[in-house]
Amino acid sequence: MNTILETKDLCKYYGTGENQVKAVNHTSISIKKGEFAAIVGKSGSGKSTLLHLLGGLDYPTCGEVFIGSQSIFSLKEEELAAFRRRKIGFIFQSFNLITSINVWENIVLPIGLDNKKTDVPFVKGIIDILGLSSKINSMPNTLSGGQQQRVAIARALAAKPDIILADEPTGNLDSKTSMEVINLLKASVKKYGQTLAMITHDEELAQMADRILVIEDGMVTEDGKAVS
Amino acid sequence: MGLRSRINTKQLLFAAGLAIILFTVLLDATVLSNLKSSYQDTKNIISKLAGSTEEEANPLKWLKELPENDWLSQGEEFLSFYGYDSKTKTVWDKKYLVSRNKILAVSAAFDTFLLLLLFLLFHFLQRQNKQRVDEVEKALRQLQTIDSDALNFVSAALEPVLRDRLFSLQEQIQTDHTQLQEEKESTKAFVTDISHQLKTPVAALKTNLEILSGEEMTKKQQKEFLNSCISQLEGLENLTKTLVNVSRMEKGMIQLHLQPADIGETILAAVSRIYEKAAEKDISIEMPQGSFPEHVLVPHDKKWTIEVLVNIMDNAVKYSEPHTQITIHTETLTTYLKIDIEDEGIGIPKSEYHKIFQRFYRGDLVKETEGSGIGLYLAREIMEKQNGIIFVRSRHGRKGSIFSIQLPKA
Repeated sequence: MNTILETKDLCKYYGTGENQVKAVNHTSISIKKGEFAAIVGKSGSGKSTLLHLLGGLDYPTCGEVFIGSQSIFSLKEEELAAFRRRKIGFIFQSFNLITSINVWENIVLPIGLDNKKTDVPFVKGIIDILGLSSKINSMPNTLSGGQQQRVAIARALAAKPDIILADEPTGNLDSKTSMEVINLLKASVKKYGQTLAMITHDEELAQMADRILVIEDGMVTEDGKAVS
Repeated sequence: MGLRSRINTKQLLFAAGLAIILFTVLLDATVLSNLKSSYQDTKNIISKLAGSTEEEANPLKWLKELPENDWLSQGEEFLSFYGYDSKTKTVWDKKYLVSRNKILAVSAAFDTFLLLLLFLLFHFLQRQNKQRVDEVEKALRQLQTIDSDALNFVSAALEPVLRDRLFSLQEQIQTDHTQLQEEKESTKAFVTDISHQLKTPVAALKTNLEILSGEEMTKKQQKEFLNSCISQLEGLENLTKTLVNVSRMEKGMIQLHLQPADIGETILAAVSRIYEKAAEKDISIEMPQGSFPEHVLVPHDKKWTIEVLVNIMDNAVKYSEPHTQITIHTETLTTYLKIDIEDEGIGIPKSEYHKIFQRFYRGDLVKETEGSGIGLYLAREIMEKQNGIIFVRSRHGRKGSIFSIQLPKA
């Protein structure tokens, strides 16, 4: 009953006939509020597609995604966009920062898009935790990869979403920085009571999660709870 | 926020009404004064017409220049001679009065209409406001009942922002509620686990003691059974110690006190606790120069961080061959301080990485070795309570594991 993110019989197929690829194949998972779930799979296993469906970035071939009790694909396109902005923060492998504006502007941009007022002390708190305080006036392309991903994390957290969806968040970082970024992400999510679903191919990263879901050929199976 | 931004509807509408009345009064005053002055002009022209001679009373001429003023008094005299003094009502007076009354009536009607509209608007807004408060109140009341989906049928009338927040709040309450339930369940499971863990050594002790008390045997045999008893008791003792720690952790009785302290000292304290045990197997503990933190202050709970490090190193000693080496590396990252503990032991398969931190989990490779499956679980709990992490990885192409912990630097 405290499920925050749920899929029901979710499918995403590409192509038809013999060439059909079942990227996500009849998947029913549920992620609880406050949980840190890792979705582990090899490349091509359909994990990114799954994450895009979870976040309403792509439409499924069949099935449904529920966030709270809202079936997200029953929303109109602009409603879905607004719902997504309020509820979900995204972190991608390629940091997707806007290079023509500075770090602070990148972080508060989604809040502005939602016509909300920026909770400045809150955002400053996040920036502090992420060790970006001295960088807020810098332009993204003057930062290292690790720093850029920190900015992306801050951006995802700043709008106080209930759910953070991370797609290989450390894919472009070295292993030392990776663990640090995951630690930061985990700490912030815990601090703000958020839910984190992270996609990765890396078992080392996955051990940080409370729960591990394994995706193989579009099918998701549970791999036991990491911590009771 | 507060009072400054909260101009209430009543005051706003009152101000609007006042503005409307003021506006009509000003407009009327201007229009009426214009009307009056043109009425006065008409009256003057008539008087002047009466006061001028036939030749002077030339309309063509009067169109070009104003008639002279002294005709006015002559005209008034002439008119009053015929009984038309300034108090007599003429047809022009009547016309003036009709126009004036018409203007006043129209503006009065206009004002009444607008004020009525404002009044209705006020009532409408107030009713709507009350409805909204009722909706929120109803939703909040249902929040208390923890029933799932309680909000679904309430909230259609609420604004999406409010509805989303309420949903979040409801989910939060439900999570807390479930967490409590789960804690209860986990305590139950914990008790079951403990009793299982206790059963084996207690049963062994019992058998040993029964044999000892019952049968005749040589001194050597006696010694053997006694040793076995001692080793079982030691196992029990260890288990009790860990259990005390875990149960404190479970109940939240352990309050970690994060205080800036020299992390190097903490590492040394942990090493000194494991040193003897390592020496017995001729396992050396190395701390390469340059990677040892000299006077680095990190906020942490000294006692429990030592516990974490001892647990890791205890495993390292337990699962390594004699004459091997344990290496401790410390590194400063942007936000965290990282301590790596590298051993040359049996290593851990990747598929078990996340399982080894579970309570009572014992990997297949270590089934034979004595252990409770609690050390790493406790270590993870302690690290998470310190906003840090613990994780494991393999050594590149070599036997053994590297356990890392990260603690926030500030």
